[in-house]
Amino acid sequence: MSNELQILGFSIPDIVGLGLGFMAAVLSLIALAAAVIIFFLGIRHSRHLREIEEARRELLSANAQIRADIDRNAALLREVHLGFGAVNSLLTLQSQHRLITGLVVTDEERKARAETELKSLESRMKARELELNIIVNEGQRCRASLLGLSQTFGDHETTEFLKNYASILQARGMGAEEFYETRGGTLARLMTIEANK
Amino acid sequence: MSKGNKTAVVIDEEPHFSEIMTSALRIAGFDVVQFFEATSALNSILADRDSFANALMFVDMALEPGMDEKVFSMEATDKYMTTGLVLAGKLVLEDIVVQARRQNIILYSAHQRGQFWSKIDQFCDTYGTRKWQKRADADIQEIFELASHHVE
Repeated sequence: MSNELQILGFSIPDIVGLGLGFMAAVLSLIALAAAVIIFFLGIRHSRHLREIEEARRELLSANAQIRADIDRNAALLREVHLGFGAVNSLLTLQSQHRLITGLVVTDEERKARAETELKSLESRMKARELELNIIVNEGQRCRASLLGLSQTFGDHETTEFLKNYASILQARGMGAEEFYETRGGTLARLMTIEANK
Repeated sequence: MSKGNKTAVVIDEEPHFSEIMTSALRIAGFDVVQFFEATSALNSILADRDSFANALMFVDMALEPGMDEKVFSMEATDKYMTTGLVLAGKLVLEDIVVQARRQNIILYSAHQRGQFWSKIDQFCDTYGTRKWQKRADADIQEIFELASHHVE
């Protein structure tokens, strides 16, 4: 019989080895379980990342859409404002015309001046009407009004109106080039007239 | 400005009335210059004081101050109710309008008589300028007659 201490027929080194082996097996199982958990968590995480990325892209696209809508609404608002400006100016001119028509002038020279004033008001009223037609109508009628303005030369407010309207069309992404082309011709004529004054 | 015609200046922030006034003055035989706020009016007149020295000037009281917030500050203009008065004061004190021509400055307002008007009365009494209480619905005939009176 050997001198080695034995427990239930196992020597101490055997028991230690068995214990270590058992611990290694348990640790391996734990590591395996952790790896599996980490693997699935990783899958979930990357799915979340994909979802977040997708949400971010949607957010950016929604932002761009909102920005485009804001720009479009701002352009529409500017167009409405431009229209109201033209209507207001037309009403003012009409009222001015009515008042001058009712003016009692006996002096011949002054009568002639009143006639000149009325003619000037009439041409300005025509300019406002054509500008309103540009806003209200599209296509052929808009072009006809632009042509009308280039023939009557509008007044000092016309150039500003055309510049504003072209920039509104550009902001709305609607046929600005075509308008620019026509506007270019119209503006060039108006500026020549202004320069010649 | 055409040669021979007298010059009139209309300083009023309200375009409708300013336009009517301008028409009436043109028919009466004036060359008219319009300003819609105090700063640009003062700067333009200062820059070309000889042209404006004999001009007939219609100055509305409750004017927009414009860019010069120092001269036409809220305090100086009584919360922008007497901007025209401050402007007229500058024109008089800077000798742009000499004493003999001060009656060519016509201060006007559509406000009812009251504390506001006592300031205008006081200014006119001190400097010899004139005043005109326009009706809110002042017609062109009234303005025309007022302007015609100055042509002769």
